[in-house]
Amino acid sequence: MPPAVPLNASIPAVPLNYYLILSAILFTIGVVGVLIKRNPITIFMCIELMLNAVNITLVAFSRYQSTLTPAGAYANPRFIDGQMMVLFVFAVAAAEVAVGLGILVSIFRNKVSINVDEIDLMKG
Amino acid sequence: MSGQLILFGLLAAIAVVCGLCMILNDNPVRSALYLVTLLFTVAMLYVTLNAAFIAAVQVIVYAGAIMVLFIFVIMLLNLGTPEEIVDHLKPQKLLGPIAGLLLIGLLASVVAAVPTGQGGQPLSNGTIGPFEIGLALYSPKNYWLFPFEIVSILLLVAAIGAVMLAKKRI
Amino acid sequence: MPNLSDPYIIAWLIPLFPLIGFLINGLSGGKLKKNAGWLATAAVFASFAVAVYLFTQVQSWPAEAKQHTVFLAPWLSVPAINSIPAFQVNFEMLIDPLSVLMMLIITGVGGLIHLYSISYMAADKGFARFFTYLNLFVFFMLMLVTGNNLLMLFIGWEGVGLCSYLLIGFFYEKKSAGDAAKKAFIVNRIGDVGVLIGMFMIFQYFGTLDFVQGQSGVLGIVAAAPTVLRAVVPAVITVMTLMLFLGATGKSAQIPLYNWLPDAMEGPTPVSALIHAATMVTAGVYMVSRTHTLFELSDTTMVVIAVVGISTALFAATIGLMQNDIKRVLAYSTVSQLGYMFAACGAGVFAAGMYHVMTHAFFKACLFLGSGSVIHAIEHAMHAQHGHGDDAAHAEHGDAPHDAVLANAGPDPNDPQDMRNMGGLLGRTKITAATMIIATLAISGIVPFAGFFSKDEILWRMLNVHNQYNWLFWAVGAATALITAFYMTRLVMKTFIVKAQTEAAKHAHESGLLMTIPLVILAALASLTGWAILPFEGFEKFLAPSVVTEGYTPTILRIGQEHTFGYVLMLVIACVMLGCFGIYRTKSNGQLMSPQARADRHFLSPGWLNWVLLNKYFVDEAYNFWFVKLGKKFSYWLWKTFDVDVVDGIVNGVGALTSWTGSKLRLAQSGYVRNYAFSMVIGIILVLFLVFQQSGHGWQR
Repeated sequence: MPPAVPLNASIPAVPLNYYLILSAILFTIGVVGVLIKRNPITIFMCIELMLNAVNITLVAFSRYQSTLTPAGAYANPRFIDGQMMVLFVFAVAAAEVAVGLGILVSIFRNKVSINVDEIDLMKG
Repeated sequence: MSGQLILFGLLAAIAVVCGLCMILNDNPVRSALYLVTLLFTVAMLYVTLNAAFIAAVQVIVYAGAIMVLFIFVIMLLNLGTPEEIVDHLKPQKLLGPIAGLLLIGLLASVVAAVPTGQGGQPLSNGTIGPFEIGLALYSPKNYWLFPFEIVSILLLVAAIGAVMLAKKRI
Repeated sequence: MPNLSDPYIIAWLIPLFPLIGFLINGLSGGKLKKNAGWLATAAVFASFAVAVYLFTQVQSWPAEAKQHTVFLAPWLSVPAINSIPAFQVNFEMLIDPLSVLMMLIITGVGGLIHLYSISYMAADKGFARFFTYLNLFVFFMLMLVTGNNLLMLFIGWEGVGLCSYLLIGFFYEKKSAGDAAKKAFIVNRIGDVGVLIGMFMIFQYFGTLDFVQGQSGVLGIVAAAPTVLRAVVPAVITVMTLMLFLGATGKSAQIPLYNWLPDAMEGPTPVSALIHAATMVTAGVYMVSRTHTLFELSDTTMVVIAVVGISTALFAATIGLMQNDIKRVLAYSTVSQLGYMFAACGAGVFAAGMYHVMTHAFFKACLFLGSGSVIHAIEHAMHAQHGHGDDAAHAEHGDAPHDAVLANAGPDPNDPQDMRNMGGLLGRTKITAATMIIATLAISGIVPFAGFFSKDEILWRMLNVHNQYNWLFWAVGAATALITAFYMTRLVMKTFIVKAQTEAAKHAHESGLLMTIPLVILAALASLTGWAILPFEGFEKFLAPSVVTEGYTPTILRIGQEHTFGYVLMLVIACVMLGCFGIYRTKSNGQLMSPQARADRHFLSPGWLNWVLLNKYFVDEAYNFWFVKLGKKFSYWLWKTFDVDVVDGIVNGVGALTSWTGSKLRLAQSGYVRNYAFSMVIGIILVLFLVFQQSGHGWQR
């Protein structure tokens, strides 16, 4: 038997748009970081920042879709999908970080200076 | 001016400032620490969005495991020295922020143009805890079971891949 | 499939025999040795026998049904496309008086020449090859005259051009022979453009190329000409016929395409006799006579033909006055006589033209074969004298030098063809001398020999033509006749009558039987034609269904005055000949001026005309400058500026453009990951922009 669910519902004080714009700003900061930083680790961290920004969007949408019907709480089963996606983003981000850092380690193990510009073997 | 709005504004400001500091700082260790701060702030934002479980997982996995890994690799490769090497792509220092401005302008205009009202209906205030997540994840009626299993394989592959990539000799 | 129920199907045997002879000789002539010659001769005489049979058949046909087509095999059949009519051309033979006449001439005279060649070419190592080519030539010539459509005529046309090339260049080890062969072929090809354009235009207006209605069922061009061309602008008919005539000038050596014929004397003498006297050069006259209805519809063309013909006659005759090589004199004489034939065609009397074709075949072949006999005699005597063995066995030594000739250059003592090395052969080579003198009298137009009747007929008709300049035509023709008489007598004088000029001439002897029999036969034909056998009235009646159009009367004959004119002219000619006899009898080598005067000849000095005539009016040099040299300069210029600069420039430029583009595009591949990331971001921005634009949710930007 599920625990008693608080049936309080209200219109949230913070509009959805605010969360979305915050997410956009964080995402853009991540993009700019990827473009201007030369340290590969820092670039990777900016990629993580981008992923987090997207997570915020997903959770925000998930929150703002949950409606209360006379039948009971959570009558819209879909509204948890956002959070589920976030869980999977976590898993994928973790996997990606592991592999990416493995690549970084294998590339830069023997180099003197760490500069992503030095990886230019594809130069035409 | 409700408390929630002030709270949101505070958290948003801290997150943005942390992000900016992260990308403007030359020291990778400092950038990592700023990112950790940002992750904590985002976790608090999750809590305000009724996603307690997600917030906890964020702190545990992201800030606790991924960022530790990052710090570990920084120390392993001795990446701690600030960047002082020659920059091959000077123009990109300028063009990057410009592209960023373009992007934010685009996204903001979209967000501002699309109305996102909820039709006047109140939204539930109940937070999503492990129980709800578990129901959604493992209940056979839902469709999250299959991706869950696949992700486990993904993690296995990633683990093996990381070991293979980082080995000295295959 | 050939129509086997056709009673005249044996007509296809006529070209078949020489073709079989060609194949057998060509494939195994080396093994046959002397028998190759007999085989080839037998093939041609077999065709002659069939032709005689056909002749008797044609004689027996009623007057309105004198034309019979024999269908052999279908060839091209193209269905109609939009407004272009259907086109059908079959392998069909046309048997009618004109084609039978030509068949008889070709196979008869050709057979005699084959017989002659067996002895003439006996010592040559290319004996079998010679007869192969001769048979091939006879085959193509027969195809030319028996074809029922212009396309078969053209096959024969080109084929005889090819054989002419092969035979003129028979002594291929001599550079001059190869050059002469090429010249003949190329000049002929220039004329062939005319024939082709004429054929195209004929197809355009008639829809068919058949002469007479055959298997295709369409009315032939000969019969349909007046009706079809009535609706057409006269200029079109003129252009069409002038184009055909251009081809005829190429093949039959008229101005401006005659200069290959004298050089064609590089070939062996039987070749000159067969091809360049009796048969190939008459192909042009045959074509014009066959399509006479088209020519009759255009007065301009007829005038052009007549003018070209008669002026060529005069022009070539004047050149022949000064030549020293016996074969060249005869070559220019051929050009001149062909001019007479075309003049007759231009006057509208195609029957008279064909009559002259026949008589000319007789006496000119006799002259050429006789000159061959003389050349052989002199050559053998020279070899016996100098004692040197066969040098290129019977390669004809003499060929006129290709640069301008100094008139005071003496004769090459080793040249058996130079008349200045001959003389006194009247007593030594009796039969040859007698036949050549008969043929000379014939060509000069002395009664009762053949030339009198044919040439006289042509001149008479030209006088009576519906033209205000008819007297001019007659005057030029008569002058040409006088000049012809003069140079032919000169030839006879220098060769036979004058004292022997060299040792070789003193020891010459008569040729063998195989060479003299054809000479005798031809001389007999040249003597008897005109009064005893084949008189012109009968000939004209025989040929009328082929070459006479109802209602076309270009001439008004004043009966009764004909003979007066003819005999008066003949008397003048006889006087000229006697005068020539007198001049040359007393002077050895015909020197009419002192060596000093001869040495410093220049323009307007005494004797400059001789120098110009000896050098053929420098026509060849003019052609060489205007067409050959300028053509080469033009080609060089085209190569230099156009091919190297423009074409190569474009081709290389494409490559250069590609590599330049590549070098510019390569800048995008910087190798820097951050550049790629930046490009991706820009791409994302653009894509998002487009997506938001298309989404239609009121996003205004």
